[in-house]
Amino acid sequence: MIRFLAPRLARAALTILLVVTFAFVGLRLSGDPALLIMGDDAPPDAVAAFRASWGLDAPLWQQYVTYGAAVARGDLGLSMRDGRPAVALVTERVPATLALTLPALALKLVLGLSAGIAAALYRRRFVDRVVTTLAVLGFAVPSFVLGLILVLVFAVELRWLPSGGHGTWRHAVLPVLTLGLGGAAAFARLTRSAMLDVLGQPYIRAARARGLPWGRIICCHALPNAAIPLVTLGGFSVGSLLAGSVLVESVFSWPGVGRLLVMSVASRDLAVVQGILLLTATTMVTANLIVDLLYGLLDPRLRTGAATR
Amino acid sequence: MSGRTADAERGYPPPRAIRSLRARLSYPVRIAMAWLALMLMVAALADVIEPYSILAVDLRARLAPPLTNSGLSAHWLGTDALGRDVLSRLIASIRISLLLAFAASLLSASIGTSLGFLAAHRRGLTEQAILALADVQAAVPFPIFALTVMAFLGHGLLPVIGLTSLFGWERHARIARGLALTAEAQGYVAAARQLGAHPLRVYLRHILPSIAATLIVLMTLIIPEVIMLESALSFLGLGVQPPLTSLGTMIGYGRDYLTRAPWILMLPALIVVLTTLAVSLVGDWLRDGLDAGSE
Amino acid sequence: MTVLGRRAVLGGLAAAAGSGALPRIGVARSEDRPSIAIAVQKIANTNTLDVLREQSNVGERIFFSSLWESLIGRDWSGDLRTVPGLATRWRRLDDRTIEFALRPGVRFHNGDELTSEDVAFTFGRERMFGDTVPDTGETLRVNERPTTYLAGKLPPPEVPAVARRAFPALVSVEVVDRYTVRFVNATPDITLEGRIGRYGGEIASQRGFREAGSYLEWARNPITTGPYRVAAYAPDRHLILEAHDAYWGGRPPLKRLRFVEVPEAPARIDGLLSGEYDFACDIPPDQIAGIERDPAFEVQGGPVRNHRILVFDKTHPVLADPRIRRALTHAIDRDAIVAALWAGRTSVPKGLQWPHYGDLYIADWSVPAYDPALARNLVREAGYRGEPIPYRLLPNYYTNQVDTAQLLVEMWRQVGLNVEIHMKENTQQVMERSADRALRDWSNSALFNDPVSSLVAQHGPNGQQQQIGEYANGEFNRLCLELERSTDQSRRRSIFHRLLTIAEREDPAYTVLHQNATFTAKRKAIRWRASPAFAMDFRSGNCDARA
Repeated sequence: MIRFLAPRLARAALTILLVVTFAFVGLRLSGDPALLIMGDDAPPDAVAAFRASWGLDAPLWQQYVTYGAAVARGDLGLSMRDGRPAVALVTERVPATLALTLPALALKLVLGLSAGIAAALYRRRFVDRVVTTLAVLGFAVPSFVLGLILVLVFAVELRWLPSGGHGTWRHAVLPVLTLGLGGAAAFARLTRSAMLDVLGQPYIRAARARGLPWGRIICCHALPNAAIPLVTLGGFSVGSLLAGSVLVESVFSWPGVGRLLVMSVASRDLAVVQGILLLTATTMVTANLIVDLLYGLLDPRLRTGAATR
Repeated sequence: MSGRTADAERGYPPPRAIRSLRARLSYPVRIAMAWLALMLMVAALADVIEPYSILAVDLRARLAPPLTNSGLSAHWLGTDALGRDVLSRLIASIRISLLLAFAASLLSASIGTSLGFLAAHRRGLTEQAILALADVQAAVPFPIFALTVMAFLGHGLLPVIGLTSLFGWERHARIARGLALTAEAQGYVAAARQLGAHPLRVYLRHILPSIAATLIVLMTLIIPEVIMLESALSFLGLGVQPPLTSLGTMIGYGRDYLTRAPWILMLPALIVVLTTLAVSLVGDWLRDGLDAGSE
Repeated sequence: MTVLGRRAVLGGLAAAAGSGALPRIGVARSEDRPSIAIAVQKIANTNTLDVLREQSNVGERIFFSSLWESLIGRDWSGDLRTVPGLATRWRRLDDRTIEFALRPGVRFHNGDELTSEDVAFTFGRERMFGDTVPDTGETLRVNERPTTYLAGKLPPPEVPAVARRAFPALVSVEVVDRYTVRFVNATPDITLEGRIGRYGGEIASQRGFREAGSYLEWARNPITTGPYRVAAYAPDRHLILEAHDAYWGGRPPLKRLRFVEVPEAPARIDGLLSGEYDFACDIPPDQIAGIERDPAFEVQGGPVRNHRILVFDKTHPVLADPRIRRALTHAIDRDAIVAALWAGRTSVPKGLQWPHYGDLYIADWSVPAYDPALARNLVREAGYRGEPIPYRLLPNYYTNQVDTAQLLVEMWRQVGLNVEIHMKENTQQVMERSADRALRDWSNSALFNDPVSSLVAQHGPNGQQQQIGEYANGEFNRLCLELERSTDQSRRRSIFHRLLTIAEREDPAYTVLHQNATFTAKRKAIRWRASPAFAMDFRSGNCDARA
């Protein structure tokens, strides 16, 4: 197991290190931080003091090390707009984003899986046609367009649900639908093709020949074998949900990390932006690690290294 | 890492020649192709077919619904809050958005393929570096990466062009590297090498044609995503800026008139949906054709 | 709330009332008051609630009359005339000195009584002026760069700069006794009362400031005398104000006021119609008819004492020639803008002045006439050859901002001027000094009934326009100082006329587009009247939300 885990952990650490480096380079490229923060007209001695206290006079590699150490301590500096630590600003928005992304993920999995399985079981029948068509459409409709259409129908015309804001579960319905439906489409498509692959395998035909009930065949034989591509897509959906939440939060005025990101980009609040970048990268790398672990559990061949991909 | 497995699971086909495609040309695919041809024509002829200048304001015909004929001027698709012709703005938006999407996808394919070839050719540290970069790119969802870069370096049309031309490079690089390694192992490449052909020539004349089909299929997956990325950034107000207009800019603008003048938003949204749909259908058809060809 | 819980709370409050802080009767009734939610486009641009930091239209909305109060108040629900505020009386001792008698029994949110010490503190170095010197006529440069918050209690550099713009020659505030203070100016100033009552001169509690951990902490929860106090402030998200039952002006009619930031107008309107919010602010004129189709809602508001203007950067190479700036002003068909984008619900004023200036209002003045032929001539005379003129723009901070700008660009194109829109993301980027700064949007208010409150305060030597280095004019600056100090009204009138002539005609610093208007949509069931201002009055005389 250690032989399986070690290279993956190393790779994950390297990825995070590279993202930190990218943030460092981005910060340095965007201008002299002393002038950026103090202003062109700042008295020279004040600028010098600032440079000294931030270690800006040190050689670049030393600055990089200092920066890396600060990041490791969770110190990303103060938000320019807000004056509070950037990390605090980002973390206080995380629950709101989770309140959208977790239900959306669940919706996506449940809807995508069941639709995909149904389509595979009733291949080339009506159900399949409907699922496939909806799945293709779901992929082609940008999330913000879907969100605006849902607002127009359910908030403006029918007045069933609020069009934006945050507070009760009713506020979350439309954004979660927006975020989940698009993802469910991709998931349904993949589930369908993975199931079709598996259903064509000899052991499924054998099981059917033995007269096992369909439900049992699906649960115990087909699904576990179709799981690997699905787990992969599950890992990917973390990323697409994070990216999607940026737009969906903007459409629905949802006070999460995504809206904070758009606002911080507009005000060039670099400390907050890099905080969000690092948070996203860490989440994604962790999700990928979990996916790798699940592979190991699902497919012993991978764990022993017998099949390197 | 899982990224590589994902490429395989996404269904990118191995290098095979395109065969037997025409036989399976279904009606949806034909319609999709016709739509794409129409869009490309609109983009190419935008200057000629725009009924009005996209900047010409007409305060007497504000927010006119589609099919309005005010006597002096006809606005087939209505007007916006300044009385500007929505059809003309739509045509201009199609030009900008589609040009940007196609050009950016081509660029990212070239960047990615070159880096993939470089990795396959050099191996060793270069290969590891390129693969690590690809990992980093895959570790941050692209829209978030794009927003970060815009925070550091500013927003607007130029950053959008630069960023969209990076979109998906890592997928191209991984595939190109993998396919090139496979091809290297085959006889004809080794033969060309032994005849003293320059590596560049080997890659461009021998390897690239044999894997082009796969890369084109990958591009059909990336183009719709680029269209959506551009429209999303413009919708957020960070992409194409007034007085220029793009599909995303129009959607963002139309949002203010969602109830009063829904056509401003619905038409560009429809174009985005239909175009991404069409590209995906054509892409699916290409991929199916490639798979079928191998059977 | 359970019976036990309520009793426990009442017990606690009664104990507090025993100390004299709260009237007992007020507490017992507190359950019958409703809470309301107000959707606003922006809560505060600076993410602070400091009147000297957040000097904006959106700030005015949340501050007055709910949170901050001045010695000299304003009749917010009426015609904005001055009324006694935290001071009951004031009198001139000479042309440089005013003595105020404070209202006794005014309670701060922390329970302290307002005394002359608090007033002296508010206008002192620690809170207001820093190390600036009164009356030097020097331009303090700020606002071109992001603000730095220094650790500790020191206010950011904008605060003293704004304070000196508002009170340029204030030397000291002397404590005479517990309820009497004297304001002493370095120079004669007949507008001193107006200045003291203006936006920025509101009174803060000395103990409240000293007990805060840092400037920023205080600026997010200032201890003031208003009818509502800050209960929670999450910048960019919401601001919750709750009733301050010991308010001197009577028990506030609402339990809680929740301002929610909803940047997009359609989302504010949908939220109002779906019952999410009770009020929706900054309604675009195009949407009014749609809202009022539903009989449960109404839209109030109209023109406010604030003019939308367009500001020139004289240092831009193309705009350096005043003929180009004049051409820009003559090419604008202001009436067409008002008719089309404002549905005729506002008007074009007579330059940067308001009728409430009284004697100093120059009734026969007007904005530059719409005259495309004249504009074309000026462009030709200036030898202009199509060099692009950048126009920095924010996405709809002002109502109709982007549409107005695109319309202006078309009007300018008609007379041969090539103006290019440059979209920006924030105010700093709009004001940043660089080669592409030429035109930008702004709005100006008259904070009291004298031209020094607008023309001099915004465009004079220490006005923001000169502070960020866009404009300077020797004669104009000299006359600004004279207008501030002269006590001869007829002389002041002729100075003001000359100032308008320079800043709007001869060497334009800006040009007025139209009077601003703000529209607020609300549930009809709530009885409330809009002020002719951005401010929203939720005191007992003007608001009744009992269903």
